[in-house]
Amino acid sequence: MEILSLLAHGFAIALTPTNLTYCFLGSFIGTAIGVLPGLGPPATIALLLPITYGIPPTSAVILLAGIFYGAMYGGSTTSILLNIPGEAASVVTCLDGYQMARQGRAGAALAVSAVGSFIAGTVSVVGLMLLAPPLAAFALRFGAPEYFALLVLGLMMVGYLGGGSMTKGLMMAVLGLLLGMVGLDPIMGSPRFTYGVFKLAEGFEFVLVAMGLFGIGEVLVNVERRVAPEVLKTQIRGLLASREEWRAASLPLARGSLLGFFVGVLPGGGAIISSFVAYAVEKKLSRHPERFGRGAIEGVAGPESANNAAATSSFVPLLTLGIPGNASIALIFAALLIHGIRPGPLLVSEQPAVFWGLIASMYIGNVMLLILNFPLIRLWVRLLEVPYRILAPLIVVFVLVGAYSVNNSVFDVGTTVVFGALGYALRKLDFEPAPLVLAMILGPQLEAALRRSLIYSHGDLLVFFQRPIAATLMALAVLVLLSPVLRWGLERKLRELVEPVAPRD
Amino acid sequence: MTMRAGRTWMLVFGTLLAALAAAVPAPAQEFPAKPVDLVLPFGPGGSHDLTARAVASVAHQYLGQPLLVVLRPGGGGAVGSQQVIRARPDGYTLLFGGTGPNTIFALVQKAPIGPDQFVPVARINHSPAVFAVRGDAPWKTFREAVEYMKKHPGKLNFANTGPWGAADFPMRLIAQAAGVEYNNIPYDGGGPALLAVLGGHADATFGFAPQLMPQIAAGKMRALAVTGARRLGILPAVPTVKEEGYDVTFTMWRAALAPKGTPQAVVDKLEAAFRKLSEDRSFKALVKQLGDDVDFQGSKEFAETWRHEWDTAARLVAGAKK
Repeated sequence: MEILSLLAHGFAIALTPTNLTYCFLGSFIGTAIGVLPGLGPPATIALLLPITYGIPPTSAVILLAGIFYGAMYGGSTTSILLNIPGEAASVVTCLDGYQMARQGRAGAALAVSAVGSFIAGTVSVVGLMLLAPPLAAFALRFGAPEYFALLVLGLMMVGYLGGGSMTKGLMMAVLGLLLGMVGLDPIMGSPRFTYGVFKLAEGFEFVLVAMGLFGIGEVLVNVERRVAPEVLKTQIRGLLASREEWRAASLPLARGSLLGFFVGVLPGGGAIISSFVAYAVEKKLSRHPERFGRGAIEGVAGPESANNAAATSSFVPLLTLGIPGNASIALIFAALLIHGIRPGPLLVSEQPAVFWGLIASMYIGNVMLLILNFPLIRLWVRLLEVPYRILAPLIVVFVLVGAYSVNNSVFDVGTTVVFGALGYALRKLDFEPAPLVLAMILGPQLEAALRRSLIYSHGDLLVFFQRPIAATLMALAVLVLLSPVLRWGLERKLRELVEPVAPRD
Repeated sequence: MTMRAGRTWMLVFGTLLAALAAAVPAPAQEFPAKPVDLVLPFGPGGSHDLTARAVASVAHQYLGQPLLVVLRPGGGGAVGSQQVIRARPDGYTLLFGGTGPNTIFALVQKAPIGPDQFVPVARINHSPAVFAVRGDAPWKTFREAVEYMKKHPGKLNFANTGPWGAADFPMRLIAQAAGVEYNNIPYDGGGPALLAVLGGHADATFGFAPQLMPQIAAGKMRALAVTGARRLGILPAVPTVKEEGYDVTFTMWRAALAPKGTPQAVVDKLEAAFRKLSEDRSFKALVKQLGDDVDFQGSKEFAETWRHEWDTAARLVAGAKK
């Protein structure tokens, strides 16, 4: 009951006209930058940070948080329409979302991802409100060995990302691991594969690689075809999703929300990892895994709800421990600092207005985003009716400007172009870029967690099996690895039971 | 018709003349005749960025021209630093440099972005690092922690904030000064390192005061020492490392640096503007919110401070590389 009165107090704060305006502004800006490739939430929040100096802290947090979770709504738009991931967390959405668009189901994909984002966002706010302190305690139990085990499990998902050959998928993963190694090594700080170029000391910016591989690569493949891509020829059947599509999407939405909520609590790229894991889970559970990569609605619903849930729950470490879990939240932390509020273990009791005002604004923001995004779907789908000879150069300009906006650097534009060429070559040779991208994200984290664990344990490998959480995750990973063998064995056993081996003659 | 053409010609000629005038460098006595770029070699949002923006917010009154913060992140700060080194040394392009890129990265990665490439203009402020352990840790003083390291070499798990980062560096200095060994575990930044200590995955870390204050207030962390020459205003009870008997001082400074070859008159003018700026009340208040105190040093003074820091760090890096 106490929680209800606190929440009511929060709503009283969030519903004042001023805060409502900031909430709307944040959601709106977030959607916009989510749609624009390149310019992500951290850069936008940094640009707007000085503006928040003059407004009350609660309003500032409401505005900046709105940008952050709003971007998760917008991020899927370009993934689905143009195969350009608007945000890092929307890479997986490209896989099936873009295929749906090519089959004339862009409206359905956009509708499912908007509703999925809304449900996931709301579920996650409820979780944040009720479970924040125990979740923070749980996150604290994650030391380096636990992260390592989780990342091993994540890397296992590579096998589920490719639609085609497993060998090619693994080759891509290895290439991704190698690309992820470019830069200063995370433990000793010595440069690897930088060839004396200081620009490479921080490694390849992940967004640039993804925009090149997916966006530019796709355009290059499309323009060489004589006939216009199917997108233009297919009638856009029933703008929004059909009843069957909603039914197919409902369970993935629920699973994605829960998964994203828990993975998002862990600091460090929770939204990205959760979207990949959600995709793998849906493919694994599906009765028709072969549909994935060819426009399966579950492959849009799962990851899109997961990344939204994770975005919201990534506030847990900030609000309960005072430690920002990612770059965007670190900026929100800075905004609070400027106002003399130091987020920490005592934030909820010392600054209830900030905490409950933010929670209430998140409920409101999610509703606003749904209302904002739904009518836009119609508009976005119309975009696909633009002739490709006009659309293609626009996409390229759009991507290159986005690449420049990440760090205001021409080198980054070059990086995107090079990865675009690589994306084209891979497409022609029938390689999937998704395993490369996943391995590139997870590789450096995996390496750091492994070496960190071994320094901690003075080189003892048992550290991964003696700690309960790490051991459980490792056991799961082994199970996933062996599951094809187990299933094969089981099926053979079953066959033997059903039809006793009859001697053939 | 001819009148028309003549006017157009005049217009073009005038524009060209104006462009030419803009391209010709303004004489030094008129400095500054246009806005000054302050290049920040980092991405947005860090304490460096926030301090730079605080500087820029009041600079106009003292400089007579706006100060524009330009973000040039990448390469551990080398990208932005090199841009300033290559810029025309006329005082219109300055670097908002710091210990991270211009001493540590410069030495460790052998990047030519150190005191030999710059003329210091003014140091704005500097933050000491705070040695902190978990609230329930057995060590009540810094000396006890060092004694523990002495008795159990390599036992204390120290979470640093990245190789050669703001936590790694002072700890190496202390270990060298006290002759102790510890288990050095690198984390990816201050947040993860602090989480590791809070979660019991490491015993101690070096952090900055604003980040640690709420943890200390809640009893989750305990500060044992600071690395500055003096105690910190917001942690008056915490002694300096030097007071505890180990001859180590280390602070992360932030300073405006000009490329080598900038005329002395221009440097003097900038230094005077920054000196006045550092006494501005609203500027001081902003920096205080970030958990720092303004601690101004002029061009000559800071050149010495920096050179001293550079030599100490160079010895440490050379020792570690062997």
